[in-house]
Amino acid sequence: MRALLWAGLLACSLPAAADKPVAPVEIAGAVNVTAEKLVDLFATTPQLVMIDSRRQEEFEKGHIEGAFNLLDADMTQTSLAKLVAEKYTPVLFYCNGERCLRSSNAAKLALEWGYHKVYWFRGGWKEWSDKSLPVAK
Amino acid sequence: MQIERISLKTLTVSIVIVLGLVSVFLLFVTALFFRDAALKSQNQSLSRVMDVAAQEVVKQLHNQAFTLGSTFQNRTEFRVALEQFRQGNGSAALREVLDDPIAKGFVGAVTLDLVKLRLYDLDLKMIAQSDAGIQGLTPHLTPLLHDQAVGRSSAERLKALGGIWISPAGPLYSVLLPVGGLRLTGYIEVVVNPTFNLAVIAAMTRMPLTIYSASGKMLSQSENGMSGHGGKTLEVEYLLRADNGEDAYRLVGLADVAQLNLDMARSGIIGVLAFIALIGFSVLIGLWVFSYFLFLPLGNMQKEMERSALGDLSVTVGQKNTLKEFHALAAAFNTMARKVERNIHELQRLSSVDGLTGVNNRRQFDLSLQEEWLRAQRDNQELSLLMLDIDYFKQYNDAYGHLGGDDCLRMLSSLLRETVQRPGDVVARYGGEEFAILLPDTSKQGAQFLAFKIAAELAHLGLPHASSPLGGRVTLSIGCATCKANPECQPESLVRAADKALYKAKEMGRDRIVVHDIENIPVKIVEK
Repeated sequence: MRALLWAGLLACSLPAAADKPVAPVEIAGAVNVTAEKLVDLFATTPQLVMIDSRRQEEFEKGHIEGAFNLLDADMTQTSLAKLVAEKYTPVLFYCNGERCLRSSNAAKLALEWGYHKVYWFRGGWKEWSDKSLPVAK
Repeated sequence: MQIERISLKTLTVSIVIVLGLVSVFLLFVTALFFRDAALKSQNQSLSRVMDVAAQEVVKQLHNQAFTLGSTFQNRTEFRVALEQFRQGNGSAALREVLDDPIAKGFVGAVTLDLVKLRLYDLDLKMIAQSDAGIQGLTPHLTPLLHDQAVGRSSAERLKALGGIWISPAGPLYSVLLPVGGLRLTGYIEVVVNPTFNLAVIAAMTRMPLTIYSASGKMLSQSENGMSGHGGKTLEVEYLLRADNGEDAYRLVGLADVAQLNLDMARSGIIGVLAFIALIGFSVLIGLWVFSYFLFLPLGNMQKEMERSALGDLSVTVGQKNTLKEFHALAAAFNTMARKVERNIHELQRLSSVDGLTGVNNRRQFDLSLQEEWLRAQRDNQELSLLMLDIDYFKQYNDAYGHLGGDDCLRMLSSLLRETVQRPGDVVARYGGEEFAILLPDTSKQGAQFLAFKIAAELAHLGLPHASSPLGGRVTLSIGCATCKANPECQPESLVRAADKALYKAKEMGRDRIVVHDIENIPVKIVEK
């Protein structure tokens, strides 16, 4: 009886888990990168601007070295233009990972606003820290 | 011991008891075996728990050392000292900075035993190391980390590496981090003593724990002690290996197995008692079945067969409620006993009957005379005897041949049997052509009457005897004697008297009856 009850609860909880937000696999017009590709991109593209779309307190706990903090909700064409000089300047967005929609929102906005070289690090902070890559605080 | 002295019952009961005892003994052995297996399994499980705990501790250790290295290289004084070193100002300031966290502590020092900080260039060549901390380490990166670090791609080179290695001072854990963030300028190695962290396993596994180096040196012992409690504890061992496969640590924990022992003892006792009860019950059931279907019928058969063997052939060996084999055995025995009985009766009959005439023979007559005389004496009764002899039988044989003589004897025997009809009367062939008739409880007059009757029947039969001078017919001379059985009148006296009377009858011309009055000698002669 108890097992049935648990099974019922589990069944009810499954749709709830499925409802949790998941970032899109790809964003049309943006280039997906992994942590390793990001390191290579950083080395080969000195003008790359990295935007951390998370909250400030998360950013301050640790972030990819050289990244700027700009919450997606706060991002406007003006605030983005302060960090990314030209529409042709390569810009990369990341947030906490595939469960986080902030960076995908920000990347879509940037594309809407006419930025041409948009990179998206879908794995985000989780992938970076899991791979024990250098962090800045 | 002679096998004949052992009964089937004793043998069966002994075998059952021995089997029962062997079963109980085997159960005890099995229980001990299962106890060992349970302890071994418990040991393996706890060793696996220690394995998991050790892996978790090493993972935490790695993360803490990584955090320490990351934090340290962000220190301004480190960056300044490193810059000064690169500008050729010597490594003194750099070493001083590297000494700082070891000598003065750092955030998280309570969870990490930092023993060395070492700095390498991009080619993994050591450029500086802390003076403080452990001494005597070789001035280069541990070979395993070196092998892992060289030849990596640019992205891979930014990743931290870590592993346990064996230093001259004992096992250590090193984390190699990139310096300079994404713009890699070198590496920093954070060297910590894992023993400090591994001691936590005692709390994680709730077991007193002693940590030994691979060489057997005791490195750490938990505060709650390692004293055993006389079989209530189980020593659990786990070998933690360095990344190159060498043994780095031997962790020995003491698990409290008092409850396990108690549970196993309880299960064992319950199992043994249940098994003993089962065996006892089975033995009782088995013995009852054996007793009812085997021992009891067999015992009865044995008694009945012994009675039969002692001569009581009327006994029927029991066949009711017995198994098939006993039934068949009893039936066979009973058939055999009936045949023996019949054969004995036939033999008895043959040994008491005259072969030619079918009447009793002389031997049977003598036995009957003794029996009847005793009975007559006991009952105070009279006993009479007739002695009969065929007159001129030699001449009859001469005239009709011996076969004719035999026919005559047979006919006379038939006549006697038909005439003497009382159950107790005994007709016997006394010898040759002489017959005797024993008449129990018969007076002189009764005997005389019977003698007359026989003579009359013979006359009526009219057997021809051409050589006889007495009318051409077979005739008889009969001597009668009667007496009350007593010491004065013994059986021999009776026979002698009857014989004498017969002699007298012969002497007087044959074909007559002479009564010998034993009590009134001389002989009284009765004419026909």
